[in-house]
Amino acid sequence: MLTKRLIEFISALLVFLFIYTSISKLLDYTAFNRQLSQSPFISRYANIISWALPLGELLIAGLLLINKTRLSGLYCSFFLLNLFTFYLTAMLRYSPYIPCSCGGVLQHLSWQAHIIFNAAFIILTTMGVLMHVKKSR
Amino acid sequence: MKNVVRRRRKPVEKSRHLSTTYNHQTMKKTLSITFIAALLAVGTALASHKRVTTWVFWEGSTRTGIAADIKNIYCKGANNQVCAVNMDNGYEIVFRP
Repeated sequence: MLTKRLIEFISALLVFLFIYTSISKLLDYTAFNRQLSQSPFISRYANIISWALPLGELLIAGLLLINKTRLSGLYCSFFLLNLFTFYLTAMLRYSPYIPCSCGGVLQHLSWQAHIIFNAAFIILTTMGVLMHVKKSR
Repeated sequence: MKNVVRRRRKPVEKSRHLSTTYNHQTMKKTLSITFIAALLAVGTALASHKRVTTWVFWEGSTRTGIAADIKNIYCKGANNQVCAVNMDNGYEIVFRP
């Protein structure tokens, strides 16, 4: 029972994060697209990513909402969070300048703080996946 | 005379009970913590959305930003005179001392 509640709580946190950031990005689409265009690594794909990322986040939130697809949602969240953390680290280490391309209040975080924030969510997601797998056995 | 055939009523207690249980389960599923989180996220994102607009200042210059930033940076203080007008709608005004 406690495991189930914990999985639900972790999923709820991820749902909140993904829906909040995706809607913030879509509401400020022009600014988000501009920020992505300034990013040295992904400027060529800015137009595709500016749509695909928020829609992907909404899709993952949808997967997390439904019990049957929750594990897939957790795996996808883990993948996306790791990908984003990898991008942040690469930007910090190798990019000559670092434009912020994040949504909502998260754009006020520094990039270092963003990495810590992501790491915390990656740990939570890992816990969620492990608990879900253990529960399903 | 019409031959009226009355059908026996089905026992309602059982179906009522089932329907109540079904409703309760549906409510429980709908009101799960993840759904509440989703609703909260939508509300928070919409509420915290700040529109960046262009403002025409009293001396003729233009600057872009959200209303709160324009007030705090360029028009700080009491609201006595017009400081800036929103170019997009023309009625949103920021005042200055």
